[in-house]
Amino acid sequence: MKLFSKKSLGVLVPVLAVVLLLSGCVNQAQTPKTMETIKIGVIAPMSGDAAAYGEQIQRVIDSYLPKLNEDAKVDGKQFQFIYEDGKCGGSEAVSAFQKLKDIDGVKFVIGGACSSETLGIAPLTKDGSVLVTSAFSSNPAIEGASPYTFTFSYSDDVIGKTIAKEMSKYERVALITEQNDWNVGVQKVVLDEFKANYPKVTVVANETYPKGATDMRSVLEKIKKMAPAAILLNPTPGVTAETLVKQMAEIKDWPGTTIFGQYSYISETALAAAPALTNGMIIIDAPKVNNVELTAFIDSVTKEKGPLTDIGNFYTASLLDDVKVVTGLIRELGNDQAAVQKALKQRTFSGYISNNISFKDSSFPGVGGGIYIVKDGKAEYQQ
Amino acid sequence: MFFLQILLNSLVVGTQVVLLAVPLYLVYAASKIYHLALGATGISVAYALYFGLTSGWGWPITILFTLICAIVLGLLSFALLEKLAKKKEHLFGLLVSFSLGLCLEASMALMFGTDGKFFLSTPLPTINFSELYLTVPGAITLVVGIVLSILFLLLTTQTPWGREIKAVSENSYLLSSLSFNASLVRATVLVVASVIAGFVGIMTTFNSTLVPGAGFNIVVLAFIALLVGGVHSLKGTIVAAYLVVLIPELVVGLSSGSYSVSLSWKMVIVFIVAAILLTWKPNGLLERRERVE
Amino acid sequence: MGYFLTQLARLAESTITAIGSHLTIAVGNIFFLGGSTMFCFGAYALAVSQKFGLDPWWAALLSIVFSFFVSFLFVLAYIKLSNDSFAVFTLSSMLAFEALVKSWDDVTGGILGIAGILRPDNLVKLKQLVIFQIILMVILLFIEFVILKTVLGRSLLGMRESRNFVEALGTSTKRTGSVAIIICCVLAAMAGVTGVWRIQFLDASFGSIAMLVQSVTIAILAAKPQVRWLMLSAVFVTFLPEFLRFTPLPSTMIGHLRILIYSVLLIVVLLTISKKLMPQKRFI
Repeated sequence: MKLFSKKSLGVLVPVLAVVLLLSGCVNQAQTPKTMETIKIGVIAPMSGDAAAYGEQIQRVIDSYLPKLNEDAKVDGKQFQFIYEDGKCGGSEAVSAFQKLKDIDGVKFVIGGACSSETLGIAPLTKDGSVLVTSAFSSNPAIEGASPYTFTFSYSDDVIGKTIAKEMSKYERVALITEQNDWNVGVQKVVLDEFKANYPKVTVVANETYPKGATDMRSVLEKIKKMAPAAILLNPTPGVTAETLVKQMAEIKDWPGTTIFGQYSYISETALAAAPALTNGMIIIDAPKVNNVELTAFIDSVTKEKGPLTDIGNFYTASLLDDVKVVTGLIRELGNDQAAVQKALKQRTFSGYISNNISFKDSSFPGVGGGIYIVKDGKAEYQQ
Repeated sequence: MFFLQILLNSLVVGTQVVLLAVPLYLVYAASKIYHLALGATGISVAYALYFGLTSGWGWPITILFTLICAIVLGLLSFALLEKLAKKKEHLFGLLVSFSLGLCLEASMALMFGTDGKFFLSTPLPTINFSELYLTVPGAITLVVGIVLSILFLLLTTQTPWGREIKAVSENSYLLSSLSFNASLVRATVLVVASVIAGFVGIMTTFNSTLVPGAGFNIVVLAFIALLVGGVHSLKGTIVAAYLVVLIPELVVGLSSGSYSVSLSWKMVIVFIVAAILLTWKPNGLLERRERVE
Repeated sequence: MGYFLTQLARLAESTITAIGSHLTIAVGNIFFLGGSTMFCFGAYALAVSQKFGLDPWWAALLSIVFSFFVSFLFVLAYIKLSNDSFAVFTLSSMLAFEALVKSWDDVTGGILGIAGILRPDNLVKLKQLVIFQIILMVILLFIEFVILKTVLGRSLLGMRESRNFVEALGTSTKRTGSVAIIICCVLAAMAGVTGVWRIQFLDASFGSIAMLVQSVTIAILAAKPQVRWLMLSAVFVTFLPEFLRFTPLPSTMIGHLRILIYSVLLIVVLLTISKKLMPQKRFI
C-alpha cells in the first residue's frame, strides 16, 4: 500500500487523531492510592528569546518540589507541575493554557512569565475554571483583567512612577528602551508621569530598539549628542543589559550624565560588564529581599542546577511566594480554584517579597519600589 | 564628527551584510538555490569558536576546529542540496535550506542555551581616530570585507573558476561533458560559502552578542541585498547591501528631536528602500534589460 | 475538549491561508510570501475596528475589504517586479509589518498588543467558532477545487509550465497572477480574522515567520494541484509540532527539540518526496 494512496489516507488521518487523543493519557505519574495528586500548570517561555527565564523558573520549582511534597504528605496530597511553553507570546500561551486545562485537567496555573502571556490567558479565566497566578508579569493592564488572574510581581506603575520621581531632579533626560512588553510598560508610565507631574523635565531623546538587538551604538551616539543630564537604561535583564552598558563604555565620555536603571541592573553580572560606567548608577527596583533562607535556597539551586541570574533575587522570591501561597491554600481548601480565589481575595499573606501580600483591592500584591545605588559593582539598597 | 561616527558604525553593519551576501550570491550562482541556512551556519561556526576558547584549547587548535566545523557544515549543505540543485528544484532547495537553518539554530540552543554569550566580558577594545572610534572586531570586519569583496569580484569575473560557477547552474550536464566535475564545483562553493559565513558569524557576534538566533536577521538583509542588487551581479549585490543597510542606519542615526526615528523602525525603512530600488530597477541595480523572446 | 477544538481551529486557519499559497506558489509558481503579512493585517484590521466600537461581524467585513484593497499593493509589485524580486519584496513585507505594528503604539497597542477582542454573539463559544471555521474551510477548499478546473486554474497551471506559452495563447499571465494574489490575500485575512476571534488577544507575535513557514511548507508539500494533497499536507504540518508536545522529553529542552525534530523531519520529507511530487503526468 503506497503511503499517499486513497486507502492509506483514510487510515493515516484518523490514526493521527487517535494518537493525539491517547497520547494525552501517557506520562501519568504513579502515586500511592492514599495520596491525591494535584496538578499545577506552569506557563513560561521555554523556547525563543526569553527561554532563559523558563529554564530558570523550572530550576526553582523543581528544586522546591521535594520539600513541598514532603510537607504536603501530611495532608495526603502530592503536587505535580506540568510545564508548557508560552514562548513569551499571547497566542502560544493560549494554546498552552488550553492544553493544560483540557488535557491535563489543571485548575491552577503558575504563569505566564511575560506579561503578554498573562494578558493572553486572562480572558480565558473569566469563567472561573482555572486560577492563574503569575510570579513575573507586571504590566498594569493585568489589573482587573480577570477575577481569576493575579500576579505576585510589582506593577510597572509603581516602578515607573519612582523612576520618574528620581529623574525629575534633572531637566534634560533621555530614555533607551528595549521593545519588550515589560520595558515598554515602564517607559509609558515614566513618560506619562513626566507629562502629568514634572512639566519642567524635557525628554531630549526617547529611543526604542527591537527586542534582542545586539548593536545599539548608533542609538547611543544619538543620545550622547543630545547631552542629557540623566539617562534611563531600560533593557530586559541578561545579555541585552550587559551589551548596552558595554557599548556605552566603548563610546566613553558621558560627562556629567547620571545613569538610571531598573531591575535589569540589580545583578552583579550586568554591573560587572562595565564597572567604571555603572559605578554610581541609580537603580529602581522592588525593595531588596533580604532573607537568609532565600539566599541559601538560591545558592543551592545555583550549585545544583545552574544560575538564576536572569530571574534574579526578587523574581525567585516572588515565584517561591506564588508557589507557597497557592499550594498552601490548596492543602487547606482542596483542589478547588473558587475557594482558593476567594481566600486570595480575603486574606493577607506573608512571604519573601513582603509581609503584607494582599489582593483585596488589586490583582497586584502591593509591593512598592526601592532605590539602589551602585557602589563597587554592587547595588546597595538605600530606601 | 557625529555624522562620520554614525557612518562608520553603519559601514561596519553594512560590511557584515556584504560578507554574507557574497556567499549567498556564490551559492545561487552555482545552484540557483537561496541558501538561507548561511546565517545559522555562521552562528554555528561562532559557537564552535566559543566552545574551543571556553574549553581552554589554544588558539591554533581552536581555529583549526572552527575551520573544520565550517567545512563540515558546508559539506552537509552540499549533501542536502546537491540532488535538488541537479534537478533544478529550487523551491524545495529554499525550503530545505531554511529547515537546515532552523535545525542548526535549535541545535545551538540545546547545546549552549539561549542566553547570550560574550567572547569578551569587558567592553571591546577600540581604535580611536581623533573623536571617532571603531571597535577592533568592527575594524577587522571592514578591512576583510572590502578585501574579500574585491577578491571575489575578481574571482567570479576574471577567473575560470568564476566562469565554472556560472556555467554549472546554467547547464551542469554540458559542463560535465566538457570534463568538469559539476558536483565538485558546487561542493567547493558551499564549503567556501560556509567558511565566509563562519567568519561573518564570528565577527558579528564578537562585535555584539552570541545568541542562536543572531544569524536570521542578517541573512534576511543579505537575501534582500542579493535580490535588490541582482542575482546575476555580485557588484550589484555588494552595492545593494551597503544601500539597504546604510540608508536605514543613517535615517535612524541622524534623525532627532520630534522627527527622531527609533531603531525599532529599521525594518520598515529597509522594506521601503528595497521597494523603491526594486521598482526603479526590477532586474537588479546594475543589471541590464534582457530581450524576452 | 477545548484543546482539540483549538487544534481543529488551527488546522482550519492554516488550511485557509495555505489555499492561497497553494494557488500562487505551488500551482502558479508565483513566489508570493505575503500570506502571513495579510494574515496579520486581517487580524489587526479586525482588532482595531473593534477597538473603535464596531460590531465583530462588521469589523470582519471591513477587515476583508481593507485586505482586498491592500492586496493591490502586492499586485502592483507583482506586475512591476521579476519573480525573484517579488519574493523578497513580499518576504520583507512581513518583517516590515511586524516592525510597524510593534512601533505604532497608538493604533496597534505596540508590543503590548490588543486584549479582550470580542467574538460575534453567535460564535461566543469556542465550539461554535470552530464549527464556523471548519465550514468556512470546507467551502473554501471546494472553491479552490472549482477554481482549479476553471480557466483561471488552468492558466495558473500553464504558467508553471511556460509563461510564454500561456501568453502566446492570449491569456494575460499578469492578470491571472494578480487574481491569484488577491485571492491569497483575502483568504489569509479571513484566516487571521477567525484566528484572532479564537485567541481574543493580538500582539506582534501573531502570525509572523511561524505562519509564513507553515503556509509555504503546506503549499510546497501539496505541490500537486489537488485539494486532497493540500488537506493532507495541512494536517501533517499543523499537527506535527503538537504531536511532539506529548513526547516524554524534558521541558527545558522540549521547545528547542520540537523545532529540531520538526526541521529534520521536514528536510527528510522534502528530500524523499520531492521526486515523487514533481509531476511526470500532465493534469488536464
